[in-house]
Amino acid sequence: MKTLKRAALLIASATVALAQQQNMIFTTSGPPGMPGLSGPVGANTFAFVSGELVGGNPVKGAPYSGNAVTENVQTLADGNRIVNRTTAAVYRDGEGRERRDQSLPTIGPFAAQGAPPKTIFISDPVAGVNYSLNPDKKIAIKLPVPKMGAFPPKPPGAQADIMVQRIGVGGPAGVPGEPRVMFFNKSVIGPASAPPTVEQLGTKVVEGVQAEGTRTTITIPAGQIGNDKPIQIVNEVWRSPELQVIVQSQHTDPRMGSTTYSLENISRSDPSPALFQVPADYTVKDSPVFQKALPPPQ
Amino acid sequence: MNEDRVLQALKALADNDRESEASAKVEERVLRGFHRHRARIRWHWAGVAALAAGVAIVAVLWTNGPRKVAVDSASPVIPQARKLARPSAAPVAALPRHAALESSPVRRPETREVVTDFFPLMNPAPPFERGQILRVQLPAAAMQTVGLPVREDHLADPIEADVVVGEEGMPRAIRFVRFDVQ
Repeated sequence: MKTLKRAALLIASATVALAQQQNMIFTTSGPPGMPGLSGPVGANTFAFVSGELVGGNPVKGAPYSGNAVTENVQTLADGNRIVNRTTAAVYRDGEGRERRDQSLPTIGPFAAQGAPPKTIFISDPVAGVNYSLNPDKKIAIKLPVPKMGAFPPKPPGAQADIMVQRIGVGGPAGVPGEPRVMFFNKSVIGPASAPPTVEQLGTKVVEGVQAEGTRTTITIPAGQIGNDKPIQIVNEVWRSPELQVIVQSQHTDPRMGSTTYSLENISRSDPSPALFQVPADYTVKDSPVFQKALPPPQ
Repeated sequence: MNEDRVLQALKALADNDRESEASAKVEERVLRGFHRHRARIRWHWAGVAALAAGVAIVAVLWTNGPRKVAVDSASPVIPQARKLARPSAAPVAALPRHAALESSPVRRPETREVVTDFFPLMNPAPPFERGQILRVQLPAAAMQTVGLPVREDHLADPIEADVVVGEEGMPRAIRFVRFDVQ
């Protein structure tokens, strides 16, 4: 009889344990369908999961390629400097397909865990898909192309907007349905200050292409955020009207340092079509599709 | 022959044999057989119980499937969370037993993405026209950089986030993501 009781107790315990496992929390798992990342994460470090190119309407008839270089320099009070530099190879064909190959040592205040991840993003508006390629694992994550939406009216004091629409697929996974729209929306409210000063800087040739310059200066008045003196945030952008891309920019904010950007070695020839296709040795995985539409921004 | 006469005969036979006794060898053999029989009954019922429990476990796993929730610990501090549906394609692929249920009326668990609003990383930020959205995994402590509270014992927990980066490489905004099973 004792044996029977023990067996019953054991089975009951196992059943309870399994039932509890249904609600178990896995704190280190990656999202379903994406390359899993696990393990301890160091402070202020990131592990790359996936990414995609967003924004703007496809630019047709203006192919180019070049190297995009971003450098952020922050000088501390003791004279110490923090310098971060990111480079990327960028391509666009005559149909508006884009590709960006880059390594990501830092993203803003976050540094990569270990070696900087190498990422390749392909945006193919012709086929209506985006790909995030992982060269190390030979995996391509397929996503529907997000599109920029019409900007809603800016709230009073807003300095900038970020809004991206994603055209998803309705219904359960893998079941075709009505396209849905998801909004990424944020109105970045700046400190209440005087309207920004905008200066047109004229035109100049940057890396062989004509560019138009604009300088925007925002002043945070003294006392606004506890500052003794006014703080000036200057953003200077040189944009090619023909390519419809930024070819040079400098952003200076005494609180964050200075960020310079330049598009170097610009070539106007049509890049190889193979660059905008997923290599044959990659495994293509569907990204989880957002099914539920968010309400449109107010 | 009526029943009373049979009973009387049996009683008389029992009285007659009362002093008689089986040999020790026979008694031992009978007792051994008795214990073997009891053991067989015991194992029979244990087997039935184990089988029933096994069926119950399979049924529980079949209907519910495993639930994978990332960084649930951070959930109490995500304000104005928006729920976005996330299909359960990957869990289904990982657990082939669910494939058989695709056409059945049993409701599959649905993994949903719960996100915060975007928080600015630059303020004020230059206009955003095109760029990238990067999905990264960060320590939950990163939530503090935009003013979200995180419990001390969860600062190192990994949490996922979307970072919006402009074409000139400057990060504009961040939002935090967790996954929930409905």
